[in-house]
Amino acid sequence: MLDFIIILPLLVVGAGAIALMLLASMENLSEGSTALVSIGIFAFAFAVQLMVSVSGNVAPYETAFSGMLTASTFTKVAGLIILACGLFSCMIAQTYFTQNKFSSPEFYSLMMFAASGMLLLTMAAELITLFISLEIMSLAIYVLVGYDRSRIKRSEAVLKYLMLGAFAGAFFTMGAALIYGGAGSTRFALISKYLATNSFLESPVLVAGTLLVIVAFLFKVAAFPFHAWVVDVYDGAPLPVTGFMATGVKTAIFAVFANFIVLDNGMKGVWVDYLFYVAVFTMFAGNLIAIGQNNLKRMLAASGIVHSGYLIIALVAVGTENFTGGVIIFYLAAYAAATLGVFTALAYLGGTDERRDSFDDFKGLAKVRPYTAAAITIFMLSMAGIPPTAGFMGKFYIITDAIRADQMLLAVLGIVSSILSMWYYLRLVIMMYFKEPEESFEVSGVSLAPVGTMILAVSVFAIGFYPVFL
Amino acid sequence: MNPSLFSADGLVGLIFLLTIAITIAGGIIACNSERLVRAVAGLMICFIGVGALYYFLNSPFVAMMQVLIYVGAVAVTISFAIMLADPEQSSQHGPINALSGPFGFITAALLTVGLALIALKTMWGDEPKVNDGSVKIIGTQLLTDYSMVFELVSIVLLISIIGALVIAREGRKS
Repeated sequence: MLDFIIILPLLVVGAGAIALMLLASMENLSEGSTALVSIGIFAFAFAVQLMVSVSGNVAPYETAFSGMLTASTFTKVAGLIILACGLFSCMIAQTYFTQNKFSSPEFYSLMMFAASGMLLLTMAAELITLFISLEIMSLAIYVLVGYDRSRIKRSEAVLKYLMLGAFAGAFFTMGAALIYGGAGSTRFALISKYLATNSFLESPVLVAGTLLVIVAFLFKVAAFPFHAWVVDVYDGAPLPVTGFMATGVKTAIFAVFANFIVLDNGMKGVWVDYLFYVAVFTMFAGNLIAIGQNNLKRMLAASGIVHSGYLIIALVAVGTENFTGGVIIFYLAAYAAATLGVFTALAYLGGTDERRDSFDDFKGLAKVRPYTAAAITIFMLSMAGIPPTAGFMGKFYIITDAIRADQMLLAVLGIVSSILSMWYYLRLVIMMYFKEPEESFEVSGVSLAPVGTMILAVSVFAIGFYPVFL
Repeated sequence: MNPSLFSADGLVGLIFLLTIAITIAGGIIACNSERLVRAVAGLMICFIGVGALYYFLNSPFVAMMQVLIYVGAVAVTISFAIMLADPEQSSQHGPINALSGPFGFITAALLTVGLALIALKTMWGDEPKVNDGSVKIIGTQLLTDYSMVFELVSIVLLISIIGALVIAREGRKS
């Protein structure tokens, strides 16, 4: 029974997706009610995940389905974040589709399938399961990115993402095969057992295999050498999908990345030296790209690269002994709340065909819509890492963790990067508050996104005050 | 040890080289032909060669599936797709970067050398055989230890079907 309790939220989301497909055959199902049903399903799954999380662990690492899945507090909280991301992305979609008409019930179905893939990824404890869940997530996201076929920008985005994503998938498969060749098993537990008695560096197959697997992970989170796709793809994808990709995919991949990297101290020791450079270059490359952007979505995409850099610092600092992943999950929650917050605001401010998308389009927003402008300011301050927001606390935990792990240089560079990033976050705030409005920012239709914006603005502070158990 | 060409081992070696030649030839045809239909035919030849290589790796089941699924189903599906779509598109391509050839060659060479080094440097111990790789044992594994993954594949297929429909169809008439 324990097996099914662990995947209960996943069953809810998966069954919800299939139920929505069946509902889609109804003639008089309106667009709005589809969105409401999917928000309801995500909310229900979130509640179930919450119950599973607080029901307590039987063991620190529960395993299910003959060791294919594992569940710890880390994976359960990651699941909570993913389901919350799905919930708010559906809110974004509900509002977005009142102004952009290309929706159908399958959109929400695919979103739920993607979420189930992400949930599986966080729990995967075996390379084949990991690959299948990666594919479930990626396939659904590819289709979502290219959902609107009427615009060439979307087609460009989906082609770039699909091609490069397929390569990343191939890298992962090759890596998994090599790891199996080296360690004799695809299960994390057995690989770790093998590495406990054998030296990691003496087995070139294992070194190459883990390298390829890590390359696939780094591609998915848009870390340094593999970050070039992210700006075009995030810009080309429809707004709700961009929000979901930026937060949900990142949470899922970092969860599984953390689970993988702590397999063995020897292996981690080897890769940490390289992840150090990856983290540094990711942060600064992301900052350089973000500073040059005039488009808000592109800026958020580039800033997503920077946040991946901070999360890699957290990975570098994480210890293999008594791994809890508290710092990583805290930062992911803070990042997800702020990013989705901006996207919920963009959903109703963006207008038809995402008309308002550059910094200049938001001139004087504070005079016309003071509450929305205040909320966006909170999100920007959180992403920039200014107290007392969640983003500040997240960065604080990461930096202190890095110092504790004797990564002084990394901590300093993290702070420098954080100061650099204020340039483009505060630029939007200045646009909103210190320029005269040029338009009235009228919003048509009843929508849920403003509610989502306010909830997320509150949660940015709430997460910040929630203590992390290091 | 160099077995004579006319011994059983020598013959097996010859067949092995032949399958490698078939695989590479198929790959070259698939990459270089101007017409898509010929490229698919090349892909089929390549797949057959790969299937034979799986047989040499003691995996008759995988070899069978390779022929059944890739040569039988995937290649036929691609052929259908080409027939239904406009076949003239393949002759128009944009300007090709002059550096793409040498860069591709260097990347491929590096990969080959890297993989060869990995294979040569690894101390391949005398690991006991995990199982005999027969259809029976694979079926048992799929329905016991890997049952959950096996079920998950159906979700992958479901998403592919929905995705294909969403992208290919004109949309619901309201």
